Amino acid sequence: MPKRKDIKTILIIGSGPIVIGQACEFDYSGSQACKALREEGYRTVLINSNPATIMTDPDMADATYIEPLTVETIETIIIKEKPDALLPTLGGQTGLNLAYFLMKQGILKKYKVETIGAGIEAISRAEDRDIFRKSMADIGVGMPMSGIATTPAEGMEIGLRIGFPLILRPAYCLGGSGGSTAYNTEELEEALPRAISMSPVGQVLVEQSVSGWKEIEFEVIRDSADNVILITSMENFDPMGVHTGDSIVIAPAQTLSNPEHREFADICRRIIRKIGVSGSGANIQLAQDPADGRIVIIEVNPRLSRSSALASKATGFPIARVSAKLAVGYTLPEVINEITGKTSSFFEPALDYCVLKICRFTFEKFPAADTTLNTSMKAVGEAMAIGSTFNETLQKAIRSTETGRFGLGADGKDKISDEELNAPTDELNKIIAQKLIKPNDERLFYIRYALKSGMKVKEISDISGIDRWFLENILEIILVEGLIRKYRRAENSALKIPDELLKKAKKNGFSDKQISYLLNSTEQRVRNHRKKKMIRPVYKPVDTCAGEFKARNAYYYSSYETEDEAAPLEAKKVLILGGGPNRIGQGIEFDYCCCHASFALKEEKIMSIMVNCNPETVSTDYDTSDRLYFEPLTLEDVLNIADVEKPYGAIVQFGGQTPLNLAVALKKAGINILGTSPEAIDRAENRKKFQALVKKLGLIQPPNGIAVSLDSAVKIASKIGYPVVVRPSYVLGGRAMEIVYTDEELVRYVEIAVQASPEHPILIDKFLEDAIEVDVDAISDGKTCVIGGILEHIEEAGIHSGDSAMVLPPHTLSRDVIDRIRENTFSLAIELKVKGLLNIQFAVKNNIVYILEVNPRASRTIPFVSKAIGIPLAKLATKVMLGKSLKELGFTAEKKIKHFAVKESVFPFVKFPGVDVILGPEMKSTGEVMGIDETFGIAYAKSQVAAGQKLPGSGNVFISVNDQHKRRIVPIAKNLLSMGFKLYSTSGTADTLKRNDIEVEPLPKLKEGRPNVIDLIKDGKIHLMINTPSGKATRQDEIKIRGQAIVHNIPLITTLAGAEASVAGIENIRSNKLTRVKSIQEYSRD
Amino acid sequence: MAKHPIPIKLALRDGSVFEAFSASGRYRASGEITVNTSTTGHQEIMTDPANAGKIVLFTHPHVGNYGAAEKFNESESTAEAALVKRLSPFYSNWQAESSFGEFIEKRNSLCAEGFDTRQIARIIFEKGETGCVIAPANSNCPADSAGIPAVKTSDVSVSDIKIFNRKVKNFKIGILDMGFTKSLLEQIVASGAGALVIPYDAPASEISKLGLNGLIISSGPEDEDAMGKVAETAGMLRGSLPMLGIAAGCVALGLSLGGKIRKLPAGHRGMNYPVRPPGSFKGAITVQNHRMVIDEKSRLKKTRVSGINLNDNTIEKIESPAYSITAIEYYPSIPGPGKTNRDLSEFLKKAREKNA
Repeated sequence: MPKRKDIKTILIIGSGPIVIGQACEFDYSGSQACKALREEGYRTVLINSNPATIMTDPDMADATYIEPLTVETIETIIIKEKPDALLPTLGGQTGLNLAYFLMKQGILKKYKVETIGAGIEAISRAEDRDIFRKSMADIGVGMPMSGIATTPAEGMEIGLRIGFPLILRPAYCLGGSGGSTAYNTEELEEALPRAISMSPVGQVLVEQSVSGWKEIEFEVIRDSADNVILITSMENFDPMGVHTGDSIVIAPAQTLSNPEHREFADICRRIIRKIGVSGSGANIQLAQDPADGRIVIIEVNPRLSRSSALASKATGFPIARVSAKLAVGYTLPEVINEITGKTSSFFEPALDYCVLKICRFTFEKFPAADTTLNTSMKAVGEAMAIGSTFNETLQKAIRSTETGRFGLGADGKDKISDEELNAPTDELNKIIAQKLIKPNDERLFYIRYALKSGMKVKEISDISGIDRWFLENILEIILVEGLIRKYRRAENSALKIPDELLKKAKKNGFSDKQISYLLNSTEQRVRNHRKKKMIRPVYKPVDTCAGEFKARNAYYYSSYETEDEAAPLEAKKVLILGGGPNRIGQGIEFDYCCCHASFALKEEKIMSIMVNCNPETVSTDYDTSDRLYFEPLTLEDVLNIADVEKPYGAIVQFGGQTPLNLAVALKKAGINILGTSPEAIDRAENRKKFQALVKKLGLIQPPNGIAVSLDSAVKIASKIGYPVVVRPSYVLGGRAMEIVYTDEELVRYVEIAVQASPEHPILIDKFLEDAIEVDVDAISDGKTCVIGGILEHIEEAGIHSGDSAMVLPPHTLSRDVIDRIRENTFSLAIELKVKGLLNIQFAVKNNIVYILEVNPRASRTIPFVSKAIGIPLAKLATKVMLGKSLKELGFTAEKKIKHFAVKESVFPFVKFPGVDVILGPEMKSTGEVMGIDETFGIAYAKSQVAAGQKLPGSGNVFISVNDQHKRRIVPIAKNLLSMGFKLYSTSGTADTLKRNDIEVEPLPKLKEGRPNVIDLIKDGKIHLMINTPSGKATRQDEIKIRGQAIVHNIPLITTLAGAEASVAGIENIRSNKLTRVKSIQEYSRD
Repeated sequence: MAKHPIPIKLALRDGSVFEAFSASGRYRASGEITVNTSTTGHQEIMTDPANAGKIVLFTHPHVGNYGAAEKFNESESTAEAALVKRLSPFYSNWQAESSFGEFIEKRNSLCAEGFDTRQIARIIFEKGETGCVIAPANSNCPADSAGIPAVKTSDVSVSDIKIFNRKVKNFKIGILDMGFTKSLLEQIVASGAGALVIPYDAPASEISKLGLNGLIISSGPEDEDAMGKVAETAGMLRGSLPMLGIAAGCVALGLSLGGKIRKLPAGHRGMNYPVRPPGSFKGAITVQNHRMVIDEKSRLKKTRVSGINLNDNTIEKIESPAYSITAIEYYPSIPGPGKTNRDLSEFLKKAREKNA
């Protein structure tokens, strides 16, 4: 059926900041859909608070609003832009929920906006637990026993009736947030209130646990003509009980018989028809009892999801693009299959390879967090690997996670040695069994330990619930490992491994690194030997059709097979190395930069070749680059591609730390690294060389030193003077970075936390208390340097730049200071001969400008600055790297803007109960939002609202600050009081406030009496909390209080600077100016 | 892999040779090579009589993951050989009774593994299905393979009438057996009809004496002589009872209605083929296993084309209301447990009405 002509303008809601459970997959699907709709000539209006997305690029939609994702803001935009339709299926759970609330409040009806893709009824049928259960009963689809509760008492009653274990699922929540498992009455009692409060509609499903059952997912699409297709099945390696976002997932499902597959398919078709999804995709999650094949439905997501992104990348079928076309009225037979370029989208992809998704966790950032995996998602990112067989794919997947592992063990990083495993003690056996029973992020490696220690496949399967088929395959990998080990040789003697075995090892996914470890050789030697023996990977396409039709837009994966189908591109071409799986410190911002590199190459008529393994991203979309290699970003895998393609050069400065770590080795291998030279990068990153550089240029650095022992650390610290910032030299992103105030703390840090040694020295810097930090992003062509943006941090120094709020332009710095920052930037850029992007971190104290760090590469703030000033910096930088001068590009002067843009960070604390909620030198945020307005106050307030800090306009505030902050809290408290807030406080802070004639009600310490602050929080009587931590030895009370604030979704401010800015924000909220909106296209016009 | 995998080679008629291992006791075979893109159902495909005598290459990389079970067999016949990338030596499924390898051995078939299956599949898709020979790696392998015997329908058809649901007297469906599959029979029996499996070469006069409500002409090997013969039989029965043709049976009905037939270079063999009525927006994804098609230029008597393949526009379904004939190239596969295929139930409905 032809597309609809009665619709002119379509509103699209994005998913907002990157959080656990909602990552770049929605940028990927949103961008694809935006392109598809514009192709059809519709006017598109987009709202998303996340500036680091490709979808918010000014040319992706006709009007783009980087504004808070609230019902009020969207209503204002609806009034202004008069859309005819709303497409709610692209913005994850956030977008779907907003659409639901817009409907509930009658806003859609009032302004005559129709929802397309998934109607409101369909959303309700899938999301409202009660309606869902009834719908499934109607079509005879089984469900686990369950009941719906809106109060803890109701929940208890239902739970006791069903029996333990139980799963709690809050309604309308993303990534299983607030979901938990209860094994007994106490746990149920504890979990219910939290689960109910997590649900935006206060509803929780108390459900029989089917832990240990097989978990199967299908991606299903239905169009308005009632055509239904199944894109792919997916089977979870980890059985039910682990959130699918935390599970290893394989596509297509491997252990289903034909009748079972047919039954699943039949159920999926019935469900999507019953739910009433029409013109969109849905994700259907099911569980199957492995003992008798009985199937129950777990969940339906009537929208694009993380799984749909995965299914798209796994099959080549662009689900978002096709869904967008279906939403405007087309049917599947009318939409062309972009991969083959000639067949239609009405088909079901056939895969002649294996796909594995594997998760990236960041537990090292939250030492107090429980590493057990359950129904609440904890992974911050994922990687996807493609290979010919399960074994090849599994090992590729593991090395794609970039956790320092190069396959399934045997890489020199195993926690348990072969000697121990050959004669396991009872204790070791117990540890291994525990790690298999309780799902955790290391389980895969413990399967290897278990098998090596002699545990039988059946036993492992029995205690872990993992299907025997997967375990038998893993056992094969271990057998091959044993065969390789037999050829272990003396140092420096020739490799004796037979060619056939080496081939077998590569077919089983072993990396050169693993083989070299097993043979007591080096990666380089194994590589040379392998190449001499002509044992090389070939590249096979993802073509949707198992070779039945010729593919036009295929992408490639490596495999140790016979026939190579990726003839090298015949043109000048450049390799772009992506950022791999998302993690804290390296996420969508870098993918944004890589995509822009690709766009710039296209404009320069140079072929782009992308290498990346993150299925969530725009960079791994089939049409972002001229060619895509879906491969791990290890030296071996990248060199294999370079060997075939022989590119003109490689871009390594956009993908974050991942490609940067490969720069030197790639250059050694003869690859032309475009832009700033690896030597210059080293000059900036190597502590000693950097000191010399700073000295040469006459710039100022905080006093610092390098300690190789406890003694030297104490000496340096006393010379510099406390407080000092300490960190290991070999990690980045603020890992294990701390501020210490005393010898005692330093000793603890050096001895216990880090263990300084000559190989692993500790860097010690003077900590500039109360300094203002500043980030600068600039471009240089080697001769001239132009500043993109100067960003002033809101929080004081000591908080990781990735976690701090920032404002562009600076709002408190003097002209003189700003000028000096500029001069410093220019001299560093010229001295380092930077060609491309440059990020510098400064600290300003007493009008002195200190240099903290120089990073001659793309920074996390590049997309934010680009959006704020309306200039695509990453694109310009790419062209500079290709040889253009800034003058030729017309970018010769810093852009002056009339508005303010505030970046605020978003944190995953809600996912890690028990972890303290304070900010420090170690980065903890997963994502960011932007608030933009003509005034700083409103821009800041918008950023807070967008980040989910629901700053109240009135109510009660709890204030508790440390002694250093007591003086500065006074004006803040006065301000709050004058706006009519009632203040509560702990005794210390209360004394200070009372002395300053501020009315405050003191509360007893937790153990001293009641009602205390936690009682008030539970009663809903606290609406805002200002609580600055009292130093390293934080009291347990504080952690508990902050934890309660997170659980009850109370805005929590842990820095004084944040409190000051928030009070300014509250003033604006009270005057109701937050719904003032302006599109970024308008900002750049003005 | 079997305990002693035998190195073998596969030679195609075009001269290309591929090395692999036989995972079963046998190491010699010859036949026409076909490519099947199905993700599951490999045992069903191996025992589909339409594949008798064929060498089936599976594009799905792992075969045998969920083992094999007697109930998955579609018939007593088995394809000559399966070519796979990786035969799973272990299996995991509650229904499994043996490994896929053991099933192959039991059927005295051959399974060779270790191919770059995609490489071979691409050759077949590009150049068409062709004869091939499997032989020990060290033997002289006749690449011309001129002597590959074509499988005859008579090899797979019953020799006498077999009756199922014998008690049902007033609703009888005949299956003219060109190599019928068990899942077809099961659906008919489950619908409550009596089913008579009839030798493909039974004369029309005999068939009309059986008191059938409807006649299905089954799928099976695309033996042109047999299809010609069945077309004649169908022509004589035309109009006397509802008829449904499936795959080879569809082609036979096409012939009987005056159509021309042709051979595709490579057949439609898999579970993902889109079919829709011409001009319609609504279609279905179908399971197929055929190479012969009714030529688009055919002039069929009182018959309309009601299903075309979206990928290559070939005819997949024809209907003649006047003669109460429907013919489908795709399989009337079971949509789900306890359900009957839509084309089949439409046919059964017509057959029932004839009774009334």
